[in-house]
Amino acid sequence: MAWALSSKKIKVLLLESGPAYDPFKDYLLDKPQWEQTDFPYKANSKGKYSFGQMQELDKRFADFETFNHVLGKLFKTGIRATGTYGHVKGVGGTTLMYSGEAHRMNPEAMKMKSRFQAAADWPFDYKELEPYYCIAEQIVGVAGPTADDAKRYRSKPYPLPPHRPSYGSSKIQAGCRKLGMNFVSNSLGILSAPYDGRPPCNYCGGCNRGCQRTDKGSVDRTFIPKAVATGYCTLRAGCQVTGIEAGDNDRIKSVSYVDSKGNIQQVSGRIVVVSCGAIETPRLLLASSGRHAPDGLCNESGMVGKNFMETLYAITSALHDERLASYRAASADIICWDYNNPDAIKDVIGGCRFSAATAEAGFAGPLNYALRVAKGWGKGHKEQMRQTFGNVISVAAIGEFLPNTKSYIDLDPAAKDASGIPIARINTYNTEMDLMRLRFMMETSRQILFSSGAGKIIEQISTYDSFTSSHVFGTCRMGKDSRDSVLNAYCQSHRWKNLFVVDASVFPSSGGGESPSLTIEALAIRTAGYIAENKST
Amino acid sequence: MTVVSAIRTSSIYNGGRAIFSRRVFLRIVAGAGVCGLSLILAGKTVLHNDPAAENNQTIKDFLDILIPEDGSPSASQLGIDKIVIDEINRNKDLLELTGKFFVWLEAASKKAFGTGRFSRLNDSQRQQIVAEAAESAEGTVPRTFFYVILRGAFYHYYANPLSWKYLSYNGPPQPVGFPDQAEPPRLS
Ligand SMILES: Cc1cc2nc3c(=O)[nH]c(=O)nc-3n(C[C@H](O)[C@H](O)[C@H](O)COP(=O)(O)OP(=O)(O)OC[C@H]3O[C@@H](n4cnc5c(N)ncnc54)[C@H](O)[C@@H]3O)c2cc1C
Ligand code: SF4
Repeated sequence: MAWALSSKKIKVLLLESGPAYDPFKDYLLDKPQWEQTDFPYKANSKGKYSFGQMQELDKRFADFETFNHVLGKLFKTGIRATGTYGHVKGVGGTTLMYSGEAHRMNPEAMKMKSRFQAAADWPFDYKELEPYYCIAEQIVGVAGPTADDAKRYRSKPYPLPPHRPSYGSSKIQAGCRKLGMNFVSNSLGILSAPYDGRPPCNYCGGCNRGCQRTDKGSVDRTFIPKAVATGYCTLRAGCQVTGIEAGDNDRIKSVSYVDSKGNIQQVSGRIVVVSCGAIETPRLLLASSGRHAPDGLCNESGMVGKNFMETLYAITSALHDERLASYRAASADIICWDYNNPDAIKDVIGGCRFSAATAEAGFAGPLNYALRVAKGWGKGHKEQMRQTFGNVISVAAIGEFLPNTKSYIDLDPAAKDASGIPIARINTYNTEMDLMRLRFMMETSRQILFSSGAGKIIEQISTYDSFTSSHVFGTCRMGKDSRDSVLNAYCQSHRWKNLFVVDASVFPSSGGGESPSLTIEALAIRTAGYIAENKST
Repeated sequence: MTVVSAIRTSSIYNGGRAIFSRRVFLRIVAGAGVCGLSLILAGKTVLHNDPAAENNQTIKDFLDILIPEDGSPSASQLGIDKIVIDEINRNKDLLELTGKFFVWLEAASKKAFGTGRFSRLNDSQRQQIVAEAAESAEGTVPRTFFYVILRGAFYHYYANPLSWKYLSYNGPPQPVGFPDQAEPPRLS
């Protein structure tokens, strides 16, 4: 958004609560201890949040509980565990740790309400978004397949050729073929050739730990430097917005924030755009209640925080007989879209996708093998290390998550942050339909692994028994009707004409496992065009 | 990172993968029913003539049973004992657990082999005692200590490039990466 506005010569002040990261100093992939840390969080780069009542586990799906063959069953209480909302507070946001997948929405998954009476329809068609996807792909430097995508029309080819599948992933690809499934090169915001002054990927497998090589198209390497270079964008890191003040005439008056030195500041601008992510955005809006907006800002419909969609996710790992050195790979280099349409899974509403995920599963180096693959201790453990190292392959499955009344974000009634603002509370619930989709995803993942030549399943992680979300959506959804949505089709508040929200919270439906960042970027570019054209907003 | 946090696996989707949460860990420390520390590593309590040296030696010998030399280096050959001892000394809970474990170790060694000093046992006797700790009931002091120290030892040992050589691993991942990723691996 900052780039799209500033490149149209509109002045932008970008307030980011987290710190800036220097890939060369802050990321650890070139250090011997690289594997001891996941993403190297700095001070103030993780938000605080709490959980509401977690659901009792439905025993009919107990087959899908999380286990590791060394550690055993991980969650034993019978109640779904409060896990993590995967995010980074920092310049570039969560893309600092993302896997680089650059997906377009499946057009079929944008009409869930009219087709299935589920979630909500997007207030425009895929074709409306298509030109903006092309712009976002150019900025990020997306590498993708040359063959046409039957599900997603494209007006332009990907800027870069696809990555070759890693040797480990090629086993998965071959296994799938035997099942009649089709794994193709994933479209990745990871450079397959030099591009825009950045070098190509060298397949280190460390995307989720922060890309030191800078070929991954995280927002701090792509949109933000370009925005600042226009001379129209001022970036202030370490600035936590604490409130948005509404004024008369349905307009936002000002924004308050605590700057990096701890001073309270107030700024005003013609337009305010909130892009704090699907958990922090509703928190900020709800916490910004006042005389003009007693139930929270933008909450005239009561929908702020509602329709929360989390990640329906499973990652299954198995040992292959062959030496693969499977840690040599970019994250998620191949993907299967065969079940991505919302009606693709028998008796289930909502689709899913499968991807190679050995790097994402963390089987990236010796330490993870020592802790999660080789059993025992002493000489036996060392022997197993030699036999198994590099032989794990993993398949991830991500599915549609349908909104339900028990999944929402609200303000924690007790816990507050350092500024005295209530923290976000995550209320999460998986319906039977979600669990049926998850069952299909996990059963198919196992079949894929076995068909790929893997023997024993050594680990299975699923969101059945733990909330673990990397993709979150829906808490300020767009819609045509102001009674059941927060924003119009341009991500503009139905009431507050100079207030926009552009992040994953605007999604009316989650899609069938598509990763969201490219869609967020396309939406931002589209909205910036609207703002530029409608200077009176 | 401490030994306690080291039991967490390192992965992107690692919510709750610790084998012992801190809460469980504290329950074991508090509820094990053994009181009066009879160690300890910094030489605070006199148990033997030179308690610090004796206790440090015990940790070193214990670690070398967990990670022995077998063509690749043992734990102590890579200095893991010093790191672990340092962590124990800096962590009150772990220090207390270690004290309780030493009481158990002395009793177990005495019962099995007539001497309370683990370091005086031969290799196969030490292995027998370590196996007894590993196979103790869940939630007991010996089992808890065993797993916390085992995972802590792995955590440091496998972050040392000298341990990678024997796995044909050419890390760390950067700056070279794995440009041969699409080919079968060339294993040395
Ligand atoms: C491990 C992992 C892997 C992923 N892989 C992929 C992938 O391959 N492809 C993909 O498309 N997506 C992926 N995602 C998801 C993707 O990163 C997110 O969906 C996306 O970044 C969300 O964008 P956002 O703008 O909604 O929120 P964020 O990226 O979280 O950005 C929100 C920003 O707002 C800031 N902020 C919050 N509150 C305030 C405040 N009060 N004041 C000032 N600033 C504030 C935050 O600090 C943050 O920088 C992954 C996520 C994870 C965790
Ligand atoms: S695999 Fe490629 S994109 Fe990912 S961190 Fe390594 S070099 Fe960067």
